[in-house]
Amino acid sequence: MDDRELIARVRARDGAAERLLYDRHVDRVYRLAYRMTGDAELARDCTQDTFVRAFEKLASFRGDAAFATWLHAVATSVTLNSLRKIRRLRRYETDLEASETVATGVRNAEPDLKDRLRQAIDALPEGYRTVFVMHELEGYTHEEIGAALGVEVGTSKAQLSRARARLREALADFAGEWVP
Amino acid sequence: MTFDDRDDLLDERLRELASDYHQPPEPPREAMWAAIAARREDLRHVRVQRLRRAGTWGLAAAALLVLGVALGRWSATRTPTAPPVDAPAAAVAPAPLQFAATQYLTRTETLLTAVRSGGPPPDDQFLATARELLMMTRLLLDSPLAVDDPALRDLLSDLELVLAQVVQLAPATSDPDEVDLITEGMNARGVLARLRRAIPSGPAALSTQGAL
Repeated sequence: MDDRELIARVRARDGAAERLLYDRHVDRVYRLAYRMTGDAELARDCTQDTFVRAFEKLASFRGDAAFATWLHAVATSVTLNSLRKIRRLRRYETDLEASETVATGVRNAEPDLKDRLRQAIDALPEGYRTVFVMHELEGYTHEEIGAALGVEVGTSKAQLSRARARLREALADFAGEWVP
Repeated sequence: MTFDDRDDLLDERLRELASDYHQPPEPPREAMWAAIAARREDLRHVRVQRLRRAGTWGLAAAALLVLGVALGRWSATRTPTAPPVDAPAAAVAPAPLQFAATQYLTRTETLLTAVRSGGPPPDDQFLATARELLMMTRLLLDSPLAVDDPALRDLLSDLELVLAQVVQLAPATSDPDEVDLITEGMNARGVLARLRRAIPSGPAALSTQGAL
């Protein structure tokens, strides 16, 4: 049974069809949420939110695009919004800590290549990071990314190219280790 | 090796190195499904409560309007001579109908002002109110008020069109294009301005505050 038939059954309030639709798509949604957040609890919340919203809004799904594309648009929107909220909260907490503590001057040990890369991906602007994670780590096409983020395919390609350039720059110190 | 080949190799190596970035664990499928089902059940419960509240108010308002329309028709059949042409319709309309119409106009103005100002996407209660107002518009179009007052009849016809568009809005989603279309239609016909002019000032109007 394809998604279209399942959706018709879900609209007719078939609970089993809801579960089938969930089973079919949950892994990919969860993987994306986890890759974006790096936090099991948050990824779980985002995945749940995505499906709750998707089921509630299924009546407005017109079927112009594939259901998976529409669902991933909901998932990226939910996940990015959660990350923005958390970032705001963390900035607030960091400001508080900074005002309460004196810098100790302790310097972290030099990170290894993968740590540096992880930090560099974390530090990418939101758009670059989202496209990098979706394309390079989760295998989304530029067309899928464009549809999920509501941007042109060319924008997705450009952002990926800029993300790669920034990451290469960040790893310049390790050139001997990773450059072939 | 060309620059392109080297770039491809670098990209490939970068992808390999990054593959460990936030490596997802096995999804907790059952736990998530249970949470989703519970949240949806909560939402259903909230929706039912809202509909009940909206329904109670709607039934009362509709009953009043039906009563007003019936009284209006009854009084029209009992009055052998037509009212003077220049007499305002309000002067001959029975009080319940006038009161119901004032309530209807005030609530419609509140609802359409909310549509025009954007704001959060329409929820179920908002759409239930819009449906109820659409039904009342159709009742009023058949009432002596509209029959005797061409300006009011035109306004009601426009309101019927606008409300029919509003009730088509998808619940809990915000499609700015659809809202823009409704707003453009309202602006082009000066619907809100005419609606505000049609609302009589005074105690009847005041008594409907907070109705929406």
